[in-house]
Amino acid sequence: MKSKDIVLNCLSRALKTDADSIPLNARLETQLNIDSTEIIGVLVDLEKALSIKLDDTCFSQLSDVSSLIALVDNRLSQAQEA
Amino acid sequence: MLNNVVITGIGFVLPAGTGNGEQLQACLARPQAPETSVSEDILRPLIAERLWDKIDDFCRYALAAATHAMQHAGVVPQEEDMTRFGCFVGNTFGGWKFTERELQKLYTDGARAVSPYQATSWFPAAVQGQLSLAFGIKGFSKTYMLDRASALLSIICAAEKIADGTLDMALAGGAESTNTLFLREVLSGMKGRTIVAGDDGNEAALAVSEGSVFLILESEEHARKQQRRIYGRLCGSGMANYPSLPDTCCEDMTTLIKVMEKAALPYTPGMIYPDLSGNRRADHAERAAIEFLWPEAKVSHHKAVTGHTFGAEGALEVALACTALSTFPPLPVLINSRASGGMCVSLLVQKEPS
Repeated sequence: MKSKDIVLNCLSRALKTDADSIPLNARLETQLNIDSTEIIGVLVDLEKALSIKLDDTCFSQLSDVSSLIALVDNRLSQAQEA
Repeated sequence: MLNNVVITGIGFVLPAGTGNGEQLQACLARPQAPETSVSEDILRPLIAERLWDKIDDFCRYALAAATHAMQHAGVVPQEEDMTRFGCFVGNTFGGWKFTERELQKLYTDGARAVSPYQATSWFPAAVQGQLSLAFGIKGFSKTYMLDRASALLSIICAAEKIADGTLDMALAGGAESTNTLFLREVLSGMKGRTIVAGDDGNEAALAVSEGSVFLILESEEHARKQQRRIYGRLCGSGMANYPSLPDTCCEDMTTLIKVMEKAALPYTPGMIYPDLSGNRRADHAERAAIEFLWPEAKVSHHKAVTGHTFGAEGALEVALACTALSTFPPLPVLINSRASGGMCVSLLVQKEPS
């Protein structure tokens, strides 16, 4: 499964909605109404699903769904290099 | 004086069911064991799925009960000045079902596995926060932790803020979830206690229950302007602390007499809802104080049916007083709640003739 699908699945679990209905350009805070506590839950869910470690403070860099996918891809690359 | 503060909406969630003030008496009249828990099935349709996982049972009960109360009164938040709308909550234990689950995760899977909602789901003021978010409440609000007297204190304090002009209206009541392993252990000391269950002196086992009851309180002037139906009015209150050991409540008859007199005078209660703590000496003192003040008053034994709902207890009593079938004109009802440690609270409620 691609990282994009895993991110969308984690978001769909948090939002209680279908993964297919989440647009990649949707703004996390203003369009999906995800608050800072909810995003921590999503990050922990992603850590479990992908066996990676995400920095709790990285949510401040996140704007939309694509930026979350990019963050996960970046961490996966770093993990492979290490 | 509280007698310009009236009750215009009632909502409840109890093991027997959920609904508004019109359904309360019928719901409690169904044969049931008092020591039961609220079914998840009756709450699921009332709470947004996304919110469900973030909050504890006691918050779910409160949100459902408050929604029923708002609808019962016909309150539309968009049509009210929500800076003059408050929220007053009684709660004793907080969210232990959520906490027990997360503590288990902490010990088995580590800190990272603990829900980020642990803190916000556990603390007793969570209900106040969730109600404020759900209805856009921006007025003076407060949460009270005072054992079985929590809800009665929240109602009295809400009424005082309405009576002094700080607020136009308020959601006031309480919520409690006791169906958890930890709380069942904590409350196991109450097992074996009995309470008087009838005029003939028969006794019943003291039951631990749970749920939530919320009332809409507002000034009579505000209620009349909005053409709301009035179900009852608050006539007076009294409270005092007679320091007692942690697991006992006030056994001092003089204190009980003063608190009840303060709440009731100049009226004469026709019906009394006693606290019935299950502590023999405390219950004897309460019974003696009632007989000294109003030997003719009837004493209700409904706690043998409802059990103790702790943080929701006083609000349930007020709701019962406002919905009780009674002769015309309805008699004032004096409600007693006491807290472990010695706090005594009394409130006089008058049902509005329908």
